[in-house]
Amino acid sequence: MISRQPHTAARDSGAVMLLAIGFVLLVSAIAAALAALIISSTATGNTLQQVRNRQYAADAAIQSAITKVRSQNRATDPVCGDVSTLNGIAVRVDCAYAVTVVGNVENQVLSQRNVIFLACADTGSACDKDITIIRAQVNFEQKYSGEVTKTYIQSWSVNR
Amino acid sequence: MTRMRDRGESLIEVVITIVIISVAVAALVASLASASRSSLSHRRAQDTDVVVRDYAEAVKLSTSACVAGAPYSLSYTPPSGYTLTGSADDGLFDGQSGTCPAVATVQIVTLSVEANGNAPASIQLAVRTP
Repeated sequence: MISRQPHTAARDSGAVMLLAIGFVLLVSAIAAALAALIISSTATGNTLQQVRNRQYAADAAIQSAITKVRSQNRATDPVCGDVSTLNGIAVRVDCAYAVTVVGNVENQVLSQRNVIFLACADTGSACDKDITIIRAQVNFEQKYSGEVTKTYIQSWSVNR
Repeated sequence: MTRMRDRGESLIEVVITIVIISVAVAALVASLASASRSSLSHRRAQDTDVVVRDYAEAVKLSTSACVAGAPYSLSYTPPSGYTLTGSADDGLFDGQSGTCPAVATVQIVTLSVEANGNAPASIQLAVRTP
């Protein structure tokens, strides 16, 4: 007959406790990893949606600014600085002339009415290049009388 | 006597072990199921997001050569199972076709995409006559 020795039983008991603790820790680690995965993928989805909404809001704000500048007098600097809200995001647009000249067939210098637009999330101050969402340069084709006949997007850079 | 006690302890240990492992496995299975559901939900949301982006770009493309007051129409067909709806703040867009805005205004278009089992996605964009 084999009987368990008291000191052996005590050692076994400790081993069982260690095994149980190890097992619980392992299960906890796996559960924590799964929870982190879910949280991470949720955050990623939300971030992508925010970026999408921000870009379309900036796009819309620049479209509005182009329409506004279109009707302004070319003899003065373009006036922007408006804040518009779309997709739940407030976007500010600033603009400035980009000096461009071309020569005609008689080598006369003609100025082009090109405007650079900067769209950024509204912070209450002018858009800085570091926070610009979209930078666009637009050419306004117009008659001598001043009427704009068409606008051309010369560059369109989405930064964030 | 000792043998009987050993048997009893072993049985209790086995039962407790089975209970602990069962609880742990049940928790793990529940976590895996939750992660799987979450992953499926996110994938569907991203699929819907892709469709709404494609829809928005189709609107932008169809209005890129707009002439004020002239009609425009989309050439975009969504993947099967998706339903598109659209409207404009000036009432000149019905989701598939519209009328180009005047040069002095922009048209705010709201697009929505729905699919069975997916959360709907919507977006607003502005179109204008170049």
